[in-house]
Amino acid sequence: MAKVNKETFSKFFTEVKTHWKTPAEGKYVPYKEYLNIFFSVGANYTASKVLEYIYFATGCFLIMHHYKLPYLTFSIISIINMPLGYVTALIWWFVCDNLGFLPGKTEKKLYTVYVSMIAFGLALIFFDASTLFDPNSKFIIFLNSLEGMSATACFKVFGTHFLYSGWVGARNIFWRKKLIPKFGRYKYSLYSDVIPKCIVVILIGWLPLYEIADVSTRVWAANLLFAIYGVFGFGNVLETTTQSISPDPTERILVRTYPVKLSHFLQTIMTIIIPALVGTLKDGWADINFFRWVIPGTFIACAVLTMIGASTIKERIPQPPLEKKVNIKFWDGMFGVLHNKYRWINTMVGLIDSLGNGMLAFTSILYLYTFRLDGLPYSILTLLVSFAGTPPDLLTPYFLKRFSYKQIMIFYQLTRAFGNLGLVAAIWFCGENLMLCGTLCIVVMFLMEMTKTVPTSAGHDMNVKINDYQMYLSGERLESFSGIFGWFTGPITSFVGLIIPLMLLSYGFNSNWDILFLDEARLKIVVIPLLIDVVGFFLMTIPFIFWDYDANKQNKVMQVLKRRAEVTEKRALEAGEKISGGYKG
Amino acid sequence: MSKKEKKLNNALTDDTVIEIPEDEIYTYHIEGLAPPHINKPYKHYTLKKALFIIVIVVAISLSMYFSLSILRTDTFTFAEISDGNYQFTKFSNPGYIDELTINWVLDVEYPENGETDAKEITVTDAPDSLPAVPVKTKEEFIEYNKYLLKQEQLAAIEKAKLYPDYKVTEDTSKPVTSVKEYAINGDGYIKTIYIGENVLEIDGKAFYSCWALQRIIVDENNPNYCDIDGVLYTKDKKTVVCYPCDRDQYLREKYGYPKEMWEWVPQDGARKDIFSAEDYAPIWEEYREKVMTYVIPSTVETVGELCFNYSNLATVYLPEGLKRIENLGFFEMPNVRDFFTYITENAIEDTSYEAAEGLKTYLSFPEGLEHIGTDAFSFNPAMNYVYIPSSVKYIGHHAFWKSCYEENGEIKGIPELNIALSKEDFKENVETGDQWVPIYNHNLLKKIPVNYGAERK
Repeated sequence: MAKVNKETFSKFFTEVKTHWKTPAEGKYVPYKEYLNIFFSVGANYTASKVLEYIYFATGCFLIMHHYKLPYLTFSIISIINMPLGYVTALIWWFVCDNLGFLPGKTEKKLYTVYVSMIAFGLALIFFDASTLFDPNSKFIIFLNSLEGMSATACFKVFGTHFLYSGWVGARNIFWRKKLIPKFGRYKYSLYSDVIPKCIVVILIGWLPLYEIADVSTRVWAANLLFAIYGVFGFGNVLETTTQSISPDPTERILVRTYPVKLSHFLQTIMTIIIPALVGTLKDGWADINFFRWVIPGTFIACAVLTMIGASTIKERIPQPPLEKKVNIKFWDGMFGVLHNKYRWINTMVGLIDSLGNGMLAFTSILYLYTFRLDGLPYSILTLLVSFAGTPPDLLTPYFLKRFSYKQIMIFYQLTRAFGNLGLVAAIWFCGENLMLCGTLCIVVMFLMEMTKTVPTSAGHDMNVKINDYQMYLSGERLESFSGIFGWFTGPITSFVGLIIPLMLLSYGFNSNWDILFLDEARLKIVVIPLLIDVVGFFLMTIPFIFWDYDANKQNKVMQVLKRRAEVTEKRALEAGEKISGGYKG
Repeated sequence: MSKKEKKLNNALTDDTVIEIPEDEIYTYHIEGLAPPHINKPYKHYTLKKALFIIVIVVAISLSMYFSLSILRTDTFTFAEISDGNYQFTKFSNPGYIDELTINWVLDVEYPENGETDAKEITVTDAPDSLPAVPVKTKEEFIEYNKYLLKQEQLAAIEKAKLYPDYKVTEDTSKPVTSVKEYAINGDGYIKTIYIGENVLEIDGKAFYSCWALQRIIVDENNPNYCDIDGVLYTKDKKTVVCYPCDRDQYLREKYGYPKEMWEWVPQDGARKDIFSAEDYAPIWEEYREKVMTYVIPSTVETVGELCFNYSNLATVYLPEGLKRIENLGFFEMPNVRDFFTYITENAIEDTSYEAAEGLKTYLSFPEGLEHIGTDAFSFNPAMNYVYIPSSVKYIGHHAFWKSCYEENGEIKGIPELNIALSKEDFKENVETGDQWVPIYNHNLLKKIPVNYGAERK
């Protein structure tokens, strides 16, 4: 046995040493890149997780404890933003799926549109447009009747969305064109966003806008601040890059399963450290110093580490050189994605999933209001539950070989449904005994987490495959144009997503989370939405019955893509044309 | 398909190699998938575009209409109950209604003749420019605060110009007999609520987190409820139902303080420039006494659920006859430091600080108290002494949660729980909920000590 181990080790080290800088035959990723992935993806993932503490919704600790905005106001703002969102999304997709490379005239026109939007947005923010109307008019009375809003606040929120849309749109064209040829289609955004994001993260904690006494003024001021925060992204893009790190699906899974999964270790450490730091603050999660020091400090440190290793991770999607890529016309992009059957299935699943929209995070309620956790105990429990998913995740390649995507996803939805029923049973029957109820919930959550990671990895993998399939269908991945499905589902989900918030309001929940300290209120606020979610999970199994995309089809798709890249590059070189950004696989 | 074939289908890789001619790279059709469609016109292109646009426009319009209809909340909502009377179920403040009367079904109208229920804002007589700092005396400090108040009032007048004229109307054929839980929830504008004679039942959580609420005034003919200087009681005055969150604003106006005062904190640079600690101390003490002291009448036996939550009191006098403190009864009162129990042979109904003068008192909870509800004293970090008398039979879970914390290695807030009973008697006779002893170090889960068989201070 010892001999086998020694031999295995020696073989492994020789393999790593030989292919440290150049990949083995048939492979695409050298081992040095594995190491870089471990550090850089770890830092990027942790930074993006830290940013999850800041978001414009009732569950954010900053909103919960400091801004205290009415619960329904968030839905109202999203409805105010909805029409403009549809228009700006159109332009956004067009720009993104052409990777920022637009004909000169089109580019000028788009810049004009975006700059006008910024100017209009600023005008609405600086001047009170409600003064242009009669205060006794039906329109103004209606705006004043919206919860947490006033006519003034409505106009300013509207202006903020104009400013935001114009600003992100103009940046999108500018930075994509400038940075994609150099850094690739995913990680370019890190380079354009890192510095402004750090500045806004600091401002979020230090600007005392939450001290504004008037609710509606606080609403629009907070909306503006969070909109500016949203202009700059710092998503987990290095991990996204690793999803396209190799044209070989086995190698992709290998990278996702080992270096990427292990890189999450840094975030695991932060899961312990951050709550422990919070435990030392006088007011725990409600302490503003959490947003003044802990969040910016952690984020900036991780952002620096991310940027150090970002350049070393490469994307390897078989694609023609950027100069020779298929030019996507607007309507072709729209119809292109609509012809993708698998996107329809995912859309149906998402639509049903919206039944649970507006629900308060069950874990937050359990940890903070049932168990009253702070500091290290919070860290340890969170870690314990999240760790449950790690061992099964290491076996992801096995599960993906053994079971079809359809089987995995149906199993996943059923485990969610039964898991939620377990939580309901624990709360309903043992709610008065906090320790017993909490322990049962933790056990159920542990099991749910165990059964979650493989389907999540399978889902990520399948999304990449669906993009490959889209590239086969339309000549581009059309990741942004796939947002068209949101056009169909958005109106329905925004309406359906009001069911739970309105229900929670009648149970006493509003901007003030303290109501959850009342046992009877907590019971209603948790149980009813969980039951609605259970129905959703059962229904979500139905669309997956129609899923038939398998490895055989994927293999053929990849062969087509490689062949296209090969032939296009060959033709360009024969014609003596300049090429960049292509990959033949 | 055999099992073996199925497994093969599920495998991650498949070695089938396909030959794709150079001129078919954008048209090669893989079996079982849709054919590629690249740079080719679609059939019925215009018709499809038109259909697409129509579907989207209709979907968005319908969604906006329905969503906004749901979100546009009626100012007042009432539900007819079985006996033909009405229950007040929900109030959604458009932002300018600061008082309301609950007695009949209400509606809001927007007359065009200039009539309005909105009150004119009176501007305080104050200097036009900021008085010089630091100030030395109470009078100078009040002038300084008056100036600040005047600026707020002028801004409020400007804001009020944007509000419509409105009238709240009563339908006197529809009496309101009950107020549902959370009927007014998270409101930041309502200052005064009048309860009429028709109202027979008010849920203890009816006026939950009404941040600006100063007074609840009850019609003297109401058979079930009454108020004492703006605090809601049951008619027999055995239960205190609701102490308005912002009642201290009413007391400030009563005693001539223009603005809220806070305890002078050495670290607070801003206040240091306005006042010195020595000059501030006596003014603060007087303010604390007049505005932040409450005497619960001697008839009271029960403090209702959520009764005093968020109130800005520093000292509370409890009657010796008090038996029950319900769940969250004294929840989150950041300034409350002292609870005294008073002994009196005469009935006391005056709830001001003056009533407490000359009373015989002792520290902490009354002998005779039986029930301390869940979270009854949670989030009160200024409390510094607790004595649990031998009469207590029940202490709910987290009863003193977050009323202590660690700072520089010392326990702040409640440093220990003093229990009259011995440990054995306590375990035998008192039912306790989880975590009834608070934790002061949340990382190490350290609880404050419990002194059994303790003597009252």
